Amino acid sequence: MGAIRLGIDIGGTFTDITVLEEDSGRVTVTKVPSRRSDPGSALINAVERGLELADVNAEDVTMLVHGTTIVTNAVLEKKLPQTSLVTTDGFRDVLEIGRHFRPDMYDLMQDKPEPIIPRERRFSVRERMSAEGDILLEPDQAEVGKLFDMIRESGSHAVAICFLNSFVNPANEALVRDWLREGAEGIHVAASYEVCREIREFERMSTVALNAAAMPLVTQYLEDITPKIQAVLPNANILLMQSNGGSLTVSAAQNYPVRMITSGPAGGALAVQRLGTATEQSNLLGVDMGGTSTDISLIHKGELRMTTEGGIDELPVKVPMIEINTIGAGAGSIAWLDDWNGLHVGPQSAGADPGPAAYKRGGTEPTVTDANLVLGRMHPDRFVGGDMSVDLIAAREAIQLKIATPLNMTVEEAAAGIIRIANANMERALRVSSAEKGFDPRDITLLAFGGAGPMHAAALASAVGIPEVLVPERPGVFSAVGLVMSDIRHDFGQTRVLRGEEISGENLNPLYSDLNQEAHDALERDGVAEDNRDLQRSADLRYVGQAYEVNVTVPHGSLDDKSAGQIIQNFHDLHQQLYAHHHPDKPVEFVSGRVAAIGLMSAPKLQRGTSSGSGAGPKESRPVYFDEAGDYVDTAVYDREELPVGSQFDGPAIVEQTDTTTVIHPDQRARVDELGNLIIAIGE
Amino acid sequence: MRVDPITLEVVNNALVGVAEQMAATILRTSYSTVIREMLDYSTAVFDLNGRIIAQSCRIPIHLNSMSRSLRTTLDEAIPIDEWKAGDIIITNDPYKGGQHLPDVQTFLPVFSGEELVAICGTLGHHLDIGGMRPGSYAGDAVEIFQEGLRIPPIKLFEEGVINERLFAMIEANIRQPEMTIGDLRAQTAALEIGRDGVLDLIERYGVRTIMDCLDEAIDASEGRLRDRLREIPDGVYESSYFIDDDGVLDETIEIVTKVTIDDGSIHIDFTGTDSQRRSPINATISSCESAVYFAILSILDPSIPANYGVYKPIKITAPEGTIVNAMPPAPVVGRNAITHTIVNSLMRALSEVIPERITAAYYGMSNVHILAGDGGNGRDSWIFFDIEVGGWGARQQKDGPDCYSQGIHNLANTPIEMVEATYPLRFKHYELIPDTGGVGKHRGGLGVRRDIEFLDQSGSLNTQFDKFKIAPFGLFGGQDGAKGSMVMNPDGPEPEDLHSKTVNHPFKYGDVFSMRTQGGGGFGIPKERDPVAIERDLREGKISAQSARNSYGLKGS
Repeated sequence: MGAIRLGIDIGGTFTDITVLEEDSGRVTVTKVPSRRSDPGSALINAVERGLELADVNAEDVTMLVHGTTIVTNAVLEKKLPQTSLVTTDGFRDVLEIGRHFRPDMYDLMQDKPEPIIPRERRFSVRERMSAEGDILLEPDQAEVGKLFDMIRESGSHAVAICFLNSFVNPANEALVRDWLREGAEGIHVAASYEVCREIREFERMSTVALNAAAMPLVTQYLEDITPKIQAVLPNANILLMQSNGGSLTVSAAQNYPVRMITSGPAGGALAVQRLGTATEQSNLLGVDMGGTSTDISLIHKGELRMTTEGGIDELPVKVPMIEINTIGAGAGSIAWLDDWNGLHVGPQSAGADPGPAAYKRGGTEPTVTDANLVLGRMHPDRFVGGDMSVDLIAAREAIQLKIATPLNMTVEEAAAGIIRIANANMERALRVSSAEKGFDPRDITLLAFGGAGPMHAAALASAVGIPEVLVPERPGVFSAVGLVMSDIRHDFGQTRVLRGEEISGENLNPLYSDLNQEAHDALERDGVAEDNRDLQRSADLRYVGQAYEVNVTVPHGSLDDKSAGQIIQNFHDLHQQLYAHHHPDKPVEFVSGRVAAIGLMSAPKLQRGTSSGSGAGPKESRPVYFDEAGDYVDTAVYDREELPVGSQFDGPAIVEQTDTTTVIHPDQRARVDELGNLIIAIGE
Repeated sequence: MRVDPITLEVVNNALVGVAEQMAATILRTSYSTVIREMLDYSTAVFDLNGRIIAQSCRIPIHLNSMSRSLRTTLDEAIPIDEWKAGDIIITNDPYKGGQHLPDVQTFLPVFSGEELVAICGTLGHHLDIGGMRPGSYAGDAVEIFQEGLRIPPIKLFEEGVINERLFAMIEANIRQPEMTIGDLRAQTAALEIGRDGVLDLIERYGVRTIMDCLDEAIDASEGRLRDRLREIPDGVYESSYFIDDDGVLDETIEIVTKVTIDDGSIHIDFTGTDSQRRSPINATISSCESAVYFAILSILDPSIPANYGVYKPIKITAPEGTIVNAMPPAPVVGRNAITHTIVNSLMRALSEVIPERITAAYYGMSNVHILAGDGGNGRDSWIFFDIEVGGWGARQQKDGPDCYSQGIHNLANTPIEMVEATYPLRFKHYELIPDTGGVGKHRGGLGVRRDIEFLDQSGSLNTQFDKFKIAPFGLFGGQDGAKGSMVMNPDGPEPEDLHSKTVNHPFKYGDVFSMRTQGGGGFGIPKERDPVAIERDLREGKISAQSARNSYGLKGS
């Protein structure tokens, strides 16, 4: 039997497990309830359940990729272990002062985000590095020695170090890190230059502070689960999913936990990219709509877009991550009226508890789910495959009482309005992700997943001008599929400012060969064979005087002045595409070189469509309200499992399956492609 | 209602999205640290009457004056029928609706076919616009002619064709033309992004629907603000507040605010306010209005969409020739000493009737400091412009945040590493100052100390600070926040105290400029402060043991 890969994605409510058989490409996906008090045993449960369902042997599992929200949740719930910070003397408050821009212009009752390390645990040492990288003052070992006790007495489990200009020359930071590691045994130490070698002290400090705080947490967790996994899966290489779409080894994850901060949505984005490769679609917008929020990702020319300007909970995190735009619009978003009867949807969400009014768990506010029920898009008896009962009358009453009556509308008009506004909120984010960045929506396919994505996708695509929607076979667990398709990945960067003529083969070659070496060393440590290494090189450039860089591709091999010229030309072209102008005669500045070290896992082929559907046609028809018709329309309802490859039908139609419902509007046409994806053609 | 509430919400949201897209374009493509790091710029969409419809989340003092600037342009300079597709109009004239010369505004008409349907606008604070001093902050100017280049509303682009002569004229009159021209390009690129966004909406909803949405949105904001005003008992609420001095004469300057609330309308009367100065501490009427609009909206209901509708219930009486409505040729670059003081004074006036919605006085000034290198001997001249903030005023329910933007501006600091990589400057200090927050049941926010060492051969310092003599006031038993100060070479043998409005102080190699910003006022009686909060402040070193004992009566410390 061939090799097996497992993907385990532990979320708040459910743990998703994906089993991939490499030879056949067969994928089996299932869910088990998560257990927060004992995530390790829930993980083992999930593994056993998945193996049993797929009917494969544990010995054949060669790789387990784990997506965990342990870091994300600890940040959001403010439950990070106590951590200290050591800065340059005179700058202990940089972390708390931040950039002092407030997110709301007018609100006098707003508060500043709390620093993750309070002032009492922020220490400083006398040292200074110049902007050019000259050591102006070397740290004194005796002074650092006095910190050991203070850090211990503060109850800290970890310490972060961030000195000014350490991204230019890390010598002082490295020295203090080594002293602290020796002197403060048992305490985790992270230096900023190891985690993020980038200009802007506050953002770098925030990144290393989060990293240090997460180290004890992640180390303890991995030390708990690793032997348990090894006992069940003796031959599996254990990897962790990170925010950049690649995976990390266990030891790297313990040192750089901040790299996992948005790993959940990253799995989804990666699955979008991999499916795009399989279907030969190079421009895709991934729309992952869940209960409280929607994650939007963009694949351009087959590549995921990366950013180093991400963050979490108003805290900047300056490590490369897949660019994902998260907005507070989901199936549980609450519809409400302001005091002048303006209708709004979200950002407050009823979540899973109490949930929409239709759940009858105490929720009385109308939500997007209630609106979908009222309009007949979802069948109340088949919610989550019939595992959950929902009450249509409660949904109608909530919308009637809270929205329709005050606005003097019918309940259907109000429900359709709620959907339109929820869609408009998502549409604004879609535009930010596509049109604003200079990409033509007519060249894009919208890939809809998450429990609620397929219900809204066709209307959204139509509004934005996207001609095609793709709904994968199992949209509800699609993110977990990304886990088994990830490669090992490390990102390396080095700031080196070069202007005009200095951007030459002579200067670029040594920079990239150093980065290449670091990349090879990291993959060597991970045990990746040379044949399976892929180094992707890129550069951050800007016009002299600009503050923000554009990341462009750097060709492989030795760089000469001609390839340097090509890099500059790529920059002009991309600047034009992104911002609608460029300046061919302005001097260009090279700021940072980057190398992504990829350890290629053999690319799994996807199995052809699995549904052995009978092609029996619609199982029923029922009235569904469509905004564009202004009324209920008799609508065919199909069972996803009964739709064979190659089947075609016209909208309006509803396609039901256990994990979601897909809505196809009048004048739209749907078909099932060879991989079992449902493709909706959006009419003009 | 002219449009259904669903279309209205969808279109309004989309218009704010257009303004935000314009803002993102400027951020990404601008050159000076003033715009790209400090975020001192704004973007908005207007209707044909110059009424502001949608704004980005940037600088309130800009946003609420752009409408007057555009309306003045339409009424006095370029009537609407002279706006052609492809035109871009530029102006920075404080006496034509602007505020001060560095703020350059650009406007672009949006045509749907032949029909003019909306106007997109941007405002950017430029690093230098000429005049007597680097950075165009001349504390010793006595007439606006000394402050820099004054551009009345004029076409920078005509039907898509760039006015090269105007560009050349601007370039010849400013110190760092590559920055200013680069930033202007970023502003015009943003206008085009805005135009495309508006046109896209029109294509989907039709011109009529969009126009109806604009009217409806304005009416809704007006109605909601009037509702808020009706919740407050009708009456007259008075206060006044002071500015340290005008930088020339050593006398405080008073702003008098009389607020009358009457059945859903509010009247702010500045009668009795001191007369305009022969120094740049003057505000034109648009600066004054903008400060009032900001204060009223943020106090009464920040959730009301900020558009022209919120201006309508507000009436302002500002006698001509006073510092809140200066007449030409008064210089005006330091107008923010006035506008921040207006906001704090209005909060004090309304504190007796709605104490739960205001704050005690905040730091009260855009603390502008401009460090410049002279150049010469083969060295380039350079200008570094920055603004530092201080502590928020405390609230009835909670403390004021430490070192955070409040009031009419909203600025990010420039990263230290970015400054050191760009200019011959090195930072020595950037920390909160204990005990600067006003003592009270709820503590005012702390001020900050920021020290910068000058590493060029020679140069100059110009500043516009305030609240060095007049402290940010506390309320309801809360004490005042700490006053600000500036010192040259604080740790040297001869520290030199600097005036808040320092003019052209020379720099030599190794000089250290140290600023200590103002703390916010406290709220409520200190003895009522929660001991847990006192102990936390003590543990974090935000208050001293002495203050815990003497000001708060904490025992055993």
